[in-house]
Amino acid sequence: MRILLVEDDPIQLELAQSWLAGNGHLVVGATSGNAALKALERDSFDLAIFDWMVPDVSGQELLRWVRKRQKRLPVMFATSRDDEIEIATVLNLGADDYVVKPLRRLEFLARVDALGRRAGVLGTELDDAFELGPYRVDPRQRAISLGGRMVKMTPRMADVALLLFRKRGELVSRAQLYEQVWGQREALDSRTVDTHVSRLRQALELDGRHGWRLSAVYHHGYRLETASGA
Amino acid sequence: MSPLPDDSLEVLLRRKLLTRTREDVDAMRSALQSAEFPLVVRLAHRLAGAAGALGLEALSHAARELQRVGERGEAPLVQARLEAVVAELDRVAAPRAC
Repeated sequence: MRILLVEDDPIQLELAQSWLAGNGHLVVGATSGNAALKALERDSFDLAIFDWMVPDVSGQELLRWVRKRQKRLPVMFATSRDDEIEIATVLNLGADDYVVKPLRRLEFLARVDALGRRAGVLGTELDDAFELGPYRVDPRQRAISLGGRMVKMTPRMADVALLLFRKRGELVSRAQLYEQVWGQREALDSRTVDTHVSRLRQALELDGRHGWRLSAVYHHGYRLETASGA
Repeated sequence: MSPLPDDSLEVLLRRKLLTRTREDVDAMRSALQSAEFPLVVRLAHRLAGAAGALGLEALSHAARELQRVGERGEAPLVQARLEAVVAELDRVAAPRAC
């Protein structure tokens, strides 16, 4: 998963980042609320982990921001105390889960993965084939058919398509595409991404005529959305 | 799930934490003199989280106690708990322990 981790202590941030990376996740770290907001505005994530106490923008405000703009983003809170009222507050505000600090590696990683599975962004259900109008998407075969006709794609194009179909309705940043499809964490080659997306749009006729449109979101990335924009 | 954490990173982060905590102790002593309890609470809170995550349970516990009394603003107790943190810090930093 691509995870936004907000923690104001650089030591705890580096440690948790290394745990998550060791478990196969891509992690973007932020040490302040404002840095987290910037990352949320320009990028896309599968899951976010917020510390309850961060400078400048509180965890509570961050959560409100997310729930207004990215309702489906799973959010976990790291709370410092095993305090029933604080935990209830966090969950009532719309957090999906919480973990009590100090973080324990195995519990933390298990909770992150469990939340990812519940949110449908991690796990075996991602391999199940599904249909969207005339499109049939088969992740196991890395294949997509349109109206019963198999669409020819390169493996890279198929990977880009699978990610966009899985995250339909959501903004997927170029960085996320680049990292998850090409496995590159640095020196984003946006032209490579754009070229593949353009070919994909053409091959799958994602221009609205079959009910789905692959739209570019200026300076951010792409969104696969219904032709009505709903 | 990967079976083992990156031990070398954890060793490095523990060293960083101990160095930073020495500086934090000085800051907390100054803060205590001017009854600036929120700073004590904030630094103790940070230490409790970091030490606990790095497996330094006793230091984390001492920091949590300091945070707890700091929130109540009881200067003599804060002083005592701060010294308990320093004692634990010395114990952890001793060559055989680190």
